[in-house]
Amino acid sequence: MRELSRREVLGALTALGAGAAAGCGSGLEAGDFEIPPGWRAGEERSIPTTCGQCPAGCGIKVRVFEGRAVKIEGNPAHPINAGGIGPKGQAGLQLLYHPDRIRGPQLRNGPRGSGRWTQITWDSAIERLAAELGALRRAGHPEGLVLIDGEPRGVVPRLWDRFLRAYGSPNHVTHASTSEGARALAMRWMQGSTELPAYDWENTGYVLGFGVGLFDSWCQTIHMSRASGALRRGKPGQRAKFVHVASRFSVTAAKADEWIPIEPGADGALALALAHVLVRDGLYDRAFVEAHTFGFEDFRDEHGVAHAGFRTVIAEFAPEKVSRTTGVAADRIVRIAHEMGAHPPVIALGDGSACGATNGLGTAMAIHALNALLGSVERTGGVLTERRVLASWPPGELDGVARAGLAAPAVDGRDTARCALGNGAIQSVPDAILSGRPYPVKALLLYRSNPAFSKPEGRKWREALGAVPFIVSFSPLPDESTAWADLVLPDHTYLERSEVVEPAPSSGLPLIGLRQPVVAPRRRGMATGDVVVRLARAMGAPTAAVFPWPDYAAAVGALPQSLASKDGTPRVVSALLPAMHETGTASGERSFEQWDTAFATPSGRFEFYSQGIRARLGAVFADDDALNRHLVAEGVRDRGDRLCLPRWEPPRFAGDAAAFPFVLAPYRGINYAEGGVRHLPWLRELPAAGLLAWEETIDMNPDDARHLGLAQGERAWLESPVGRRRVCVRIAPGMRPGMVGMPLGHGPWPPRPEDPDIAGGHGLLAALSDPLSGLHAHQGTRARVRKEEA
Amino acid sequence: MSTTSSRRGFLTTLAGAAAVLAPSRRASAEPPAVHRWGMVIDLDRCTGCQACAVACRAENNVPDAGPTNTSKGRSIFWMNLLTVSEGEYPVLRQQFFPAPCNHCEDPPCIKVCPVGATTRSSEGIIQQVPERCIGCRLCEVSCPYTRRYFNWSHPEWPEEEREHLNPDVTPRSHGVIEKCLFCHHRIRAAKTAAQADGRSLKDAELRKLPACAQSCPAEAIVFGDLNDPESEVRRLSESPRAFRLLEELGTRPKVFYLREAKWQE
Repeated sequence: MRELSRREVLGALTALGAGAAAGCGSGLEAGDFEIPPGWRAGEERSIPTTCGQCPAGCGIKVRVFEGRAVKIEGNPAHPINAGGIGPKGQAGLQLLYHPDRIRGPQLRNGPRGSGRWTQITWDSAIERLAAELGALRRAGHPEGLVLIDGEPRGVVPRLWDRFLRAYGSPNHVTHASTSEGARALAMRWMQGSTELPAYDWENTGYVLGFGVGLFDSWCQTIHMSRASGALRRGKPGQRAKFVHVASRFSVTAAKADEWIPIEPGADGALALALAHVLVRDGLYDRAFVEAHTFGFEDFRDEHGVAHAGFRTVIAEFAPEKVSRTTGVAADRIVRIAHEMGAHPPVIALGDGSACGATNGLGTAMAIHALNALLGSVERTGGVLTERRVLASWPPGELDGVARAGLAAPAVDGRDTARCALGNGAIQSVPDAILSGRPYPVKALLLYRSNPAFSKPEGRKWREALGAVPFIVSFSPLPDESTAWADLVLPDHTYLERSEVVEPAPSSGLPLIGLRQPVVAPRRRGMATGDVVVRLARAMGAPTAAVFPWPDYAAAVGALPQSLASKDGTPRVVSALLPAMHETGTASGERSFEQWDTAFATPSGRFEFYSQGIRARLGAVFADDDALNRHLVAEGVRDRGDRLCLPRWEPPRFAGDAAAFPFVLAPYRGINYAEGGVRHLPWLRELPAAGLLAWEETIDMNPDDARHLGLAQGERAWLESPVGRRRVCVRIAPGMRPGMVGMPLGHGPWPPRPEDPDIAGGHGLLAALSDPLSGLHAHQGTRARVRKEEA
Repeated sequence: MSTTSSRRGFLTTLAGAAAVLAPSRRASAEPPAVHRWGMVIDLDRCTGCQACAVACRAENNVPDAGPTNTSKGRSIFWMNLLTVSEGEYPVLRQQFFPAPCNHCEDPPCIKVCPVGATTRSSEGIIQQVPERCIGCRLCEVSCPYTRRYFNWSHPEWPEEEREHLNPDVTPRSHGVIEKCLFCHHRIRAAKTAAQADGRSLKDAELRKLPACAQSCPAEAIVFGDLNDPESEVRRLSESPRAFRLLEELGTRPKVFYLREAKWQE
């Protein structure tokens, strides 16, 4: 009768004076749940951990009742979100208890895509994986192993990196070229930093955002939401202005103090025109430019060769000249520049649609240059380099096989002409697989990645997956890519894992978060960190030698970290963990004007003229002729010095304008969680989605829709040069005429991997890239809309 | 889902009923209420993220509508986000209103209910007793703010998802009206905790008491006691930016909005 007494306790907690409504119950069964070991009847705990629905790393507290997670709330003591939590974070419950979660390791036992699987044990799964990868290495082709790693930062990517190096594969392929790569690359080439910048929102006076969905979806939406409240209402009588530049009238545009509609792909021209006015009218921070920057004026290098500086570039971008290109009136450009000059400190940031054309890197640099012009870099209220907490373990020894494998070119083209200034282009991987060049891909690991759904040219991805002999997926949920796997090793969800988390840079506070399991792991999953450690150890000498830890937890604990420690405490993560179990976080002090670390560039300064780019182009291209041939082939106009400076030239689009009259504007909404929107009903059904919440929709300007005879909710075919999808039309007055808005991440659930038309939107995008950085031009696909015949 | 009530389901159902019945039974016998619950929503802070709507669904065990009911406009959002748009590209304006029940001082919904299923508690909360409701939907059409929802279906969850249901709140059955209760169960728990400590409720523990206010990343939602002259909600409700929806109807909502402000050079 234990169950009865438990319910009596529960009832007694809440049912004071019950009796009046006897017999009139709602007829609902609350469920018959076993209390897991370690829990008492009626017991409740609030467990601090870190959200994992996006890279922001908000602190959460999970309310756990009798061993069941029943609510996710923000952690009030967490510096990033201070108790707030977004819709995605709360929907973690639907992920944890998702009815379609994969039940333990599965081995394919039918044709690929047949959905026939045999459940196996973890021991035999890891044995199997070790045997496959061991055979590939023994055959002398460790480079034939490719990992696609969708986790942008953290401990597991470090483990994978270590494993792949010891194994001998150069193919640690990330999503960077299709996500926030442009902003990160601007930091790399202008400041020598490998991370996204942080922003001191609380103290800024003016925010100019290009294409960044600050309130829709970016890497710090919840922090931004809180910061904007403070910017507007935090200090009586003071209000920072927020200006949003974008083609589409989004939630961010609606909430901005001013929205500047712009021609697609023209953001860089506007940024350079603003710089033009700031310099022309003497509004820039001369002292900062002189003390901390390189390449503002024309200069001569150590060989006496003359080079153009930033001032020369912006001379060509007078507001009157760019107003037609950008669609922004010249006097408006002048006004905004003057406002920026008058309201320091200013934050300028560009990402998303602004850096999503074929001119993405030049645009990102043009926007970041505004921060240096206005003296915002490293200053209070400005833009800071990431204050990183976690380092990595000391590197291990490599054997001959590993050294030979690592010397091979990577399949994402990271050292080739097309990615000279980038870190590889995941969108080029299907071509590499299908062509077998530079070499055949023999094994593919998919960690937090579903490329057949979430990467451009979905059809080609599916074809490519079919051409790889051995595929392993670590997804806890079924998806389009996992359907083609040979072995599925389901990861824990973030609510079941134990690890430390490196949040995306937010306000510049050095910080890490703790993740701890809130319930016992479900569905026989295993944290992928543990799988990597066990795999490395199972494979023997070359990999086992650099994995001295018995499990993932030990590897996490041994990770070096930079937070100040008490005397004698080693600076490793394990020293921080006892306190973190209570608070969920560990952080250091904020700091500004760290001039000695802010600029890891050849000049030790902020480089308007990037000497890093110059050196890199020299290393990748045999000579100027080779570089120029590439530029001609790719239709790039600029030459020589101009490639090292912030720059802008008109974007190119995939698809013929006559056949495909619309420009596709893909975007992520506030509900875009890892894996998209479609698997979590709370996110699909957000109130603003209205009656079409469960549909795959496109947004059309009312006039455009009318011309095609389309009304709200009607069916149409959306066709791009690389695919098509049956969609539902949403009439959106905020859509720029001639553009079609495409919210990403939607589609049927459960996924339909056999459907020839890829769901979710990403798959309709062409794999068009910025020709020197390899950044995916996600805003560069044309499309047509065809009314469905009745 | 089985229609047989388990003991737990039954008891929590009673708990829900007791929660809404008890205060009104006491109302006439007791001195004027100490508390008058109200809410202020700052539209200048709100970023339209809809965390409040999800928090409310999670806290109050509101089931997902699913594709069919969604397309028919039968989704239930005790806390909704109303969007007002005007203009043509590129001259556009859009405003977002997080919209809970207004808990009117003079609510039309109570007047039209033929069975007394909706009542006003002594502390000003507009309550709904599912066990009395006959599903006539008069209150739904009488509410000028569209804040009442009819349950078109039996609430259902996949077996696994039932594990995350809030043990403090009973789901409502098919055929009745349901609505925002200002997270009445949380108020009750806060009172119990304060009583146990032998103290009165503090404004600081009330400001973010409802699930919507607790979740809001922008801290746009403030809850509290309008009778307490020192409370944040009272102070904000008297702000020159404060207004109430359809004030001209005389319903006297206890949800106040603070107008969006403009940047000035």
